[in-house]
Amino acid sequence: MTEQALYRRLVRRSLHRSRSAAVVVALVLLSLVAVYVGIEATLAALGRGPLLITPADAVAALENPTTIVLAGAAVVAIIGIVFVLLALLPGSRGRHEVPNERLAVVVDDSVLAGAIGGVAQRASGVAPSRVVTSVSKRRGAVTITPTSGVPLDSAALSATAQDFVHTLQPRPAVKVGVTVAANGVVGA
Amino acid sequence: MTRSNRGLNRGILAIVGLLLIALSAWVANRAYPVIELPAVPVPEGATLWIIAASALVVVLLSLAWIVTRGRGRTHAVLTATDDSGTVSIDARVAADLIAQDLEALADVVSVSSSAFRTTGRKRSGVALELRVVARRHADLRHLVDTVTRSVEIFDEALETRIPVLLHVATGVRASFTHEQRVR
Amino acid sequence: MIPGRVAISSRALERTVAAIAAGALRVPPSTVRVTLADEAGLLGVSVTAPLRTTALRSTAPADGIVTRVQAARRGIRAELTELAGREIGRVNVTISRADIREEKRVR
Repeated sequence: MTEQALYRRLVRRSLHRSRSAAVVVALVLLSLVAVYVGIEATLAALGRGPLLITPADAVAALENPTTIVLAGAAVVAIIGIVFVLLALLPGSRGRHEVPNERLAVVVDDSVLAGAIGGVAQRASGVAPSRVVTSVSKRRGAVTITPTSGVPLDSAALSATAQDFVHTLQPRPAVKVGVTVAANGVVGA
Repeated sequence: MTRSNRGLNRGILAIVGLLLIALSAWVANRAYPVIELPAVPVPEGATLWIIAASALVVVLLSLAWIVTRGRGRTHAVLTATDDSGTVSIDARVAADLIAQDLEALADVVSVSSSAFRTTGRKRSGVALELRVVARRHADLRHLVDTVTRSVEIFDEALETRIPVLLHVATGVRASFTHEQRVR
Repeated sequence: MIPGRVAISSRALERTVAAIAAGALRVPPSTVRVTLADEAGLLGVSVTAPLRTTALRSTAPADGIVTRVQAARRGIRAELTELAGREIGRVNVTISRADIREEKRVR
């Protein structure tokens, strides 16, 4: 594997959950059920009494489900849906890749948010507590609560923040906007 | 890195999930018939043995899968073997050197490292993962540039360039193994 | 060559190797772990220890790590052969930590 390809793989593994844990849970669950079914089937084949219910009774219970059996089936359906969702959902870990010549670099979105917010905060001149930043997969949003009587140019601040993001070049690309709240706070 | 195959994992989850949904849908259909499905005969004789054998196969395959899950972690970041013996450098040495180098950087809270075996067609090797916990509002550009420089110098010290993954994280998660507190 | 038998307990031998390795790697002997094993009749040695080294951005950087460890290993093998009078097999050295110190000029 070339180094490029290796770095691709390292980064991808870092950006998305591998679902290994979920698979282990699913297989353990499956095995427990299989063990029980196997035991009952073997006991019945040997002509002995059942552990809990005989295969015949089990099939009958499923063929003519009582409310309890239906409730159990509902639970099973929910578990199944959860597994399918886990299989389909991307499982992002909330990180972005930052291109680098020597290393593969991944950054937690909260760290990225802190950096972007810091740039907006310094450019706006308000206190850090007045700046709230969040970063999602493709968007960054900075909300600044201004000081009363000190207007801020949100377009200029957005451009400044976007320029900063540009120096990092996160993947997937992040488009950031700075919103200045309509209501400010009196005093610095 | 981790030995797991992402696509296969998701495939297994999808199959197991769909099986469970199908099973419960079938039972629901019995209570509130929507489509006509043949009745399941009571298992007898040979069928019972087939069921038992299948159950055993499922259990064995599952166990085999679970057991092969190793994270591919290794300790040594570099191993050189010759007739004289083996020289091996632990990943912790990388963390020690790089953590010390980052001490001057106020934005760095801790540095930890782990080594992973990398599988490949041509040659297998080891990759190093560096986890640097950064302070809130850290100067990200400066931090990444500094760590990059540290790694480049470490490349010279080690006399080899190994693949490195840098993960810049917040301090929320529980301690990594061998977390080196810089401050 | 003085005739007679020198009997060294394996524990004493381990500590001897540890002392030699500590000297070669320039670290405290208490930080050195040694395992000895038989290797088809030869004495196989495995050492796990830190390595004293300079900081990455030191103005007087030391040589490459692997080179130094291999040199240290040669020294360990030579000294051990002489001291213990045993045929040494493979000497494996694992560096577990970096003991970072600035080099002091020795006059």
